[in-house]
This record gives sequence, structure tokens and C-alpha cells, in this order.
Amino acid sequence: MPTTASKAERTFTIALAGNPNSGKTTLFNALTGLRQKTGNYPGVTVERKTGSWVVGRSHFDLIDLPGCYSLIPRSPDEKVASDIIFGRESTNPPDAIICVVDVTNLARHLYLVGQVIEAGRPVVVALSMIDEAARLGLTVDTKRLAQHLKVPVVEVTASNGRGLDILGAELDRILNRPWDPPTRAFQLPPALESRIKEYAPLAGATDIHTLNCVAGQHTSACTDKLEKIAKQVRADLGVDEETVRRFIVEARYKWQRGVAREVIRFDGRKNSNWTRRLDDIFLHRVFGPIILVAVLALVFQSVFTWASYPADAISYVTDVWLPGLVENVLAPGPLQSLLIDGVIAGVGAVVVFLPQILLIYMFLTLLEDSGYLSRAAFILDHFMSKVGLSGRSFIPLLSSFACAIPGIMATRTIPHHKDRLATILIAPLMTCAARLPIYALLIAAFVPETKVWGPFGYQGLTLLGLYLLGIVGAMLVAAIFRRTILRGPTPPLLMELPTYRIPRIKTLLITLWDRGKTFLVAAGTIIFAVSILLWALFSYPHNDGVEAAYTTEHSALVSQGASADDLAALENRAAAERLRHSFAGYIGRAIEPIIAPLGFDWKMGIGILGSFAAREVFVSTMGVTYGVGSSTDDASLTERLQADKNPQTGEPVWTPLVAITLLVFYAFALQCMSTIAVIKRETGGWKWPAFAFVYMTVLAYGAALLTRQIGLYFS
Amino acid sequence: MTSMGTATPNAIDWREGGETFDMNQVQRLSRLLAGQIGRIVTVQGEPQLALRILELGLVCGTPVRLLRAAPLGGPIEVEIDGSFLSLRRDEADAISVEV
Repeated sequence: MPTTASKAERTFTIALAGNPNSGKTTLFNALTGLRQKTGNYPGVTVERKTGSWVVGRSHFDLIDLPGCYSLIPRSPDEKVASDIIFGRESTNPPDAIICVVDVTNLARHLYLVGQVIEAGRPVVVALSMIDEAARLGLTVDTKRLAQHLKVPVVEVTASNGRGLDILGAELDRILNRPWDPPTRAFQLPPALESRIKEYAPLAGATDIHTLNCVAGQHTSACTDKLEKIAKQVRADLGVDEETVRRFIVEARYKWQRGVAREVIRFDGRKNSNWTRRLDDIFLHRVFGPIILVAVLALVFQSVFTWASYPADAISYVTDVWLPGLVENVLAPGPLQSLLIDGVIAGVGAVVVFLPQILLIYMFLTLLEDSGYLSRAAFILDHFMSKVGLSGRSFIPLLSSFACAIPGIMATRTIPHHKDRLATILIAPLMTCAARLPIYALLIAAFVPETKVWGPFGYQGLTLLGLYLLGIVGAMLVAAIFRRTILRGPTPPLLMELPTYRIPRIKTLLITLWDRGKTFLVAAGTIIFAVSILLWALFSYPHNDGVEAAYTTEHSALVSQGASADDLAALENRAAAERLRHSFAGYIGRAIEPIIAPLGFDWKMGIGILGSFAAREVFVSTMGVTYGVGSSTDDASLTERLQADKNPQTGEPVWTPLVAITLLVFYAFALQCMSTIAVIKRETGGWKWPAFAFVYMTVLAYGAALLTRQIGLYFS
Repeated sequence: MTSMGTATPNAIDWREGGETFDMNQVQRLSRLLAGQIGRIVTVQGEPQLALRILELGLVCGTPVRLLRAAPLGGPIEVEIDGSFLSLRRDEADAISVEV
């Protein structure tokens, strides 16, 4: 409802509706710029995008509804759009609706327009893709179209802002006077038409409500009386609800196509349909998949290469510059330690992934806005549908090979909610970049370097095997989920392949800004809290015995004139002892019985505990535990690991089998609080992130156990 | 097309301007050759999916062109109203067209 602060300033709620790929989001961005924010609708994986647009003295709160083809909902996205337009679910309906229409596809887009107008709220139609139409030689007679639709029609070009002020003016105009909902525009078959006209007044209902009731579309307007009448009409004509719905759709399209034929002028030019020609290449039986692989490989390579520069810069800030700053300002003590080792280290370990995340998202956005993403889904669909997913799941899963976070955020493009959830749940199984430091350490330390064939050796094969393990595991898990908890038929493909377009830089920048913000906020808040918690576990309690021994030794060394190296070595030994006596050490020893069947000891337990923050923390935790300090010189850590012996049995703690078991564990475990935070945000609650954590931990444990048993059997 | 449900005295063919088709030339959309155009006769199959297919414009009498089929039984691409849609084979099986 409009809030009347004063007569001069009123805030109206305006919804933006339209098909996917209609230019709706481009318009939304043009109207709101950075004055927008994304959130979630509670409990569903649907993005809620709102923004504010000020025109003259009018202030509009815009809601960018999810793109939909029809207000008869098929997916959570469409249900949300439909619910908002009709004002269900305790929200008031919007004060007005802007319906965005792609003029190059006018006949089909008018389908949604018709439904939106019939919903009864004031409507303005915004025609987009005018430039594209002009290039094809098409012009639209907007006056005539407005006469047919009986609502205002405005041509807008979001890129240069043309038409936006007219749009604002039209909105102002219709909002400041009573709205007279247009009557139904399309004609039904005569027998049905006459009965609707006859019975609607008898039921005291509108023409549209009566028609919807006869079609079996039950809304709150379907009173008992109306229901009875609807039944009667169907019986009269000898049809069921489904048939009526079909005939309504046909009647609508007949009218829509007639209108389109009338209002669109074509200058008869010879058009080379670029989209068709490009698709002949990109969807070619042989070249299509080859090009796809090349594109994906290029994206991957670029992300890993380009991200390293800013990532290194961020590392410098979080590992060197900021701690230096804190050390200058604060005296050594708990607060300094909390800031440096807890907050900065913990948050830094995660923020360092921001460049990678932004780069992946940049490529994803470019691929989607250009239209190529649906071609990729087309090529990959057959393979993905075998495990109950759709082709649209592939790209999010592929992104997860760099980092699951942008991958999970990218699942927004998947229309079917079970498909989307399944994809979110298996995305962390893809071998992400954060696992690589652990893999590198353990493979280098415990897998022999021997070459098996040409340049390929055991080490490389182990790495490849881990990647495959992730992929195969993900496919199996997806198949299981889609047959059990996310049971349902494979979602239909039925996907539009939009015309190829050049992506807009402004849209890209706004998207990146939004996703970056999302990541930093969603991950940041949780990471902040968990980092502090972990820091506390690792730093407390102080053990007097250890401190006393350290002080004694330190003084002794100093008085003997020991070198800086000796003092550093003492620091590392002390750190290891402190860790051993901390809560973390205690927890590590406490869970030792649980992880003993996997061949792990309490030191690995501490590592696993620490790596819950972020996987790569395992390496630095091992470094501290083994007394080589947290900035690891890999060689020395490797030596320590290889040399470690169980005090009771004298056997080596680390064997190749133990290393492999640990690798398998990390291949499957969800050791990443940022991922959990993002899953929570994308699914609108804690249920699914909790489930993801539990199932992956169980899977990791089971797989590790199996690995160990197999290993023991064969040795 | 005749109406469904039980025939009553009033169950006239109440669709004005009903389309007529040569039943000998009717086949499934998925069986069209690349580049062939067919006129939609009917969409069968699961009602929700069928309605969604209709809502995208594949209603009775509409010309649709098969552009290509992905290899190994993958989806097909069709052109309708100047825009491009992709469907799986089994979804396209439910659509019959007159060639």
C-alpha cells in the first residue's frame, strides 16, 4: 500500500514481471543502479531482488520478480512471482506492475501480459529489445498495441535510458487515479463464451474469476456457488477441467498472434539470422562439444591464472601487513593473539578466495547473458538426466571445481527446485582448489614418485583418482537423492534458447558487486564467529608447566647467545606443546577413539578440527602441531610427518595407507564453513546446510573406513 | 478435435473454426527430419507438462520447425514464432504434428 509521508512524497511498490531473457533484469538495473539488494524468500531457494527508483517526486520500491512464462506456477520461482502479483501469502499485491516484453518475441510474451492484466492491478507494458528489433527491420506500432491491450505501452531502451522517464510518467499517471481493469481481451469458443457471460453475473463473480473456476484454477475467488456453476458449465459442454485449460491457452495464443501480426511492421529486409548461424556451429554434432570443452578449459585456466595475483596480494595483507600493524599497536597478549591468529588469520583464509569467486562469477555471467549457457545445457542434458539432474546443473558443478561457493550461487539458474537442491548438495563433492594444498602435502610425502607410463606417475594418478572420486561420488549421491529424499521425475528440459546477445558491462559489474557482497557478508559473519571460537580452542587453556619450561629454556638460550634460528626452533617446539595442552588438543585426543579405526591419531584429529574453518588450514595446523611453525616449509613438515612414531607401538604414525585414507576423507568431507554459510543463504534456512554437513561427514568416514579396510586386506 | 468426456446432447463440436488435419501425414515431433516444418495437431502426455508445452505456444495448428537433434538421443531444438526451444525426445514424443 502506498505510504503517504506527505502529499509530495509517496512510496509505491512496483513489481517487474516478464519472461526470462526478456530484458527485465537489465531494466531493473537501469532503474535502480546500485540501490538494490538481493536476499532470499524464506524457506525457498528463490532469490528476492528489490531496489529503489526515484523519478521526480515519486519513489518506487521495485521488486524484480523471478522470470516466468505463465502465472500458473510450475516451479518455486513462478509460484513466488504468481503469489506476489495476486497478493497471496500475507503480502499486499503491488501497487502496479511493469510487464517487460521482448518485441522480437511479441506473440509469446503477450501470454504472460494477458494473465498479469487479468490479475487486476494497474499495469504498464515496457517494450524491450527495440534496438535488436530495429536491426531485424521490425517496428512496433505502440499506439495500436496499447489499444489492443488497453493498458499503457512504453518503449524502453535500458542501455541508454531512453523511455525510462516516460515509463515513470505513465506509472505516476495510472497510480494517481482509480484503475479500471480492462475486460478480457481474447475470445473463447462461442459455446463457452456465451455460458461465461450468462453465469458470471449469476454467481456475482467477474468474467475472469468465472472462467478460471471453470478451468479448475482454484483461487480464493472460487466460492461454493461459483464451483457449482463451473461444474454445471463443464457438464453442459461435456468437457473436463484440463480440456478447458487447453482451449483457453489456444484462444489466448490465437488472439496474441493476431495482435502481433497487426502491430509489427517488417520492412522486408534480408535478414541473416545470427543466432541460427552461430547455433549451427555451437550446437554442431561434432564441433559443439569440442567448442564447449575448449570454452570450459579456457575459463578454468583463466580463473586459476588470473586469480593468483590478487589472491597473493590479499595474502600479503592478511599474513604480513595487517598482523604487522596490529603488532605495532598492541602489546603481545591475548587480544593481540585473538586479532592476529584468530580473526585476521581465519577471515583471511577465506577472503583470499574472493578473487577466484569473482572471476568464476564473471565468466558465468558472461556465458549466461550471451546466451551460450543454454547451449551448454542443451549439449550436456542427456548425460546429466541419467542421474536425475538437468543440463543446467553442469555449469554450477563445473564451477565448483574451483570453489563450491560460486557454483552453489550459480544454481539460481536451475528452474526445478529439486534439481537445484540436489545440485547444491553435491557441489561440495567436486574437488575444489582448497583441497589441493592438503593433496599436495600428503601426495608428496607419502606417494612414491615412480613413473608408471611416460610422464605419468603414481603421484599424478593419485591426484587424478581423487578428482574422479569426487565426480563419481557426486553422480552416485545425486542419483540416490533423486530416488529418495528429493524423489521426483527428472525435470522437463523445455528450455528456451535465447538469441545471442552481447553481455552488458553494467549488468556484469552490478552482479559481481552483489555476489561479492553476498559472499563476504554470508561467509564473513559465520567465519568471523567460527574463527574466534577455533582460536579460543587452540589457544586455551594456558598450561603453567609448559610456560614455565619455555621461560626457563628461553632464558638459558639467550644467556648462551643462541642464534635466531635456535630461538625460532624453541618457539616452534613451545607452540606444539601449547597446542597439545589446549582445548583443541584435548578434543583431538577425545575423538581419537572415533577416528582410530581410520588409522588417524589425535594430531590428525586436531588438523581435521581446525580445517573445519577452511580446508587448507589443515596444512598450517599440522605445521604447528609438528613444531615446524604455521608458515610451513613443506620439506621440513614432510620430514616430520614421515618420522613421527606412535609412542606405544613404535610404528610410524603416517603410512601411505593412512595418507590415502586421509585423502579420501578430505575428498568427501564438507570442511568449509563458508560453503555451509552460502548453502544456508541460498536455501533460506539451516536445514539443508546441516544435512549437507552430516551426510558428507558420514560419507567421508565411511569411504575412509572402506579405504583402510581394503588397504589392510591387500597388505 | 472432438471434446473429451462423456457425450451429452449438448456436446456439439463447439470449437469454432476447428482445424482439420490429414491423419495420414501426422507423426511425432521427434521424428521430423532436420529442417522439416510441421503443424501441431495435439499434445498428449502428462497434463501438467502438456499444458506447459502449450503455454509456450505449441498449440493446435501452430507451425513448428525441427532444427536439430543432439546426438545419442539428446534433446531436440525447434523453432516456433521465431524463437528457439529445446525439448527432450520423450517430451517431443508427446507432440504430434502434421507434415
